[in-house]
Amino acid sequence: MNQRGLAPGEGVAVEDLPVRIVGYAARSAPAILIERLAEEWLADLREQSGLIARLRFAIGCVWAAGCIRHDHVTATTSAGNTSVRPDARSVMAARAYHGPPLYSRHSESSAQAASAMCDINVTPLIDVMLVLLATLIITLPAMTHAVKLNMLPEQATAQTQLPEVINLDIDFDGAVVWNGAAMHDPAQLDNYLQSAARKDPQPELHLRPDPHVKYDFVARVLAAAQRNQMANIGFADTPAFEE
Amino acid sequence: MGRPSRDVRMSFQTLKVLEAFLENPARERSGADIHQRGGLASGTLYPILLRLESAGWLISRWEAVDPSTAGRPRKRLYRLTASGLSRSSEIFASFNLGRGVPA
Repeated sequence: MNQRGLAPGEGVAVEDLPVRIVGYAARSAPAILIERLAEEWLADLREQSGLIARLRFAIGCVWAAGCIRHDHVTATTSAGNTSVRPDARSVMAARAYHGPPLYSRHSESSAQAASAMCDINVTPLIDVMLVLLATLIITLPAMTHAVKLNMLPEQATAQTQLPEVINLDIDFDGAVVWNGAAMHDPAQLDNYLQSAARKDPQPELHLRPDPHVKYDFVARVLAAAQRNQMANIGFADTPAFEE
Repeated sequence: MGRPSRDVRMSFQTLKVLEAFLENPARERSGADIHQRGGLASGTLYPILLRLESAGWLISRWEAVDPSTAGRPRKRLYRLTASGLSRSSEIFASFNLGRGVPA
């Protein structure tokens, strides 16, 4: 089998990273085991669920390849170079667990074997870690990216409510009507204006003078409103004056 | 396999692998099966499988599927050899576990 999923032109997506790491691990195994381990590990990688589990599995394969390579070298050494290209089983069987463990401190009797034990290539591990680090650096900012929105304060929503309106009609003879209730004298109007001015929010005062009223009466009402601290004063129904 | 069984140094991880096979000695298991069952890291599991196979305790074959038809790579399936079953059963019997001891 060729090395499935290891095409050089393939995009480097995070999901593809375990496949690439497994391919890398298989290629770092002894040459006679590359194809077997690549297919076996890729098949077993498919059984892992989740990106983290797949990454752990793939990184473990890198470590496994290092162990297998070490066994291969040790077995070749202990076999005394009797064959130029031994098959996998004979190479592995030559070792067959009679010697020390992989990274044991107990040295073997021959200096050759001891040198083989020290010759562990950590370059693939470093490469994998660098790839993972670069992937994390690239993907983490995208995961934490947020768009800041300047939301309107709550006060703004409250302002959308219609304010209280006081309709103040001024009849042609100067009579003042407060929301339909006639004012009998200026003092009563002052009291109404004072109580309205103390409200929070202050209501709007809509003046609706009769088109035939003298401006003197209107001016007196305006002066009373201003004197009593009314802030929102306006004229309503002004189209009537255009006639 | 036709190869004489060799002694294998028993580590805890090797015992866990053998234990998985001894649950049903006739059953073939892939590395992923043992990885998920025993919780062994792949970096530990596959060297052990290869060593056990080299020592004649295990035998392996490719899964009988066509990768191009199945759309996936073939699994490598392992099972105990007769000598592997005998030796591993002896080991577990010596631990007083008594699993898969042949009659």
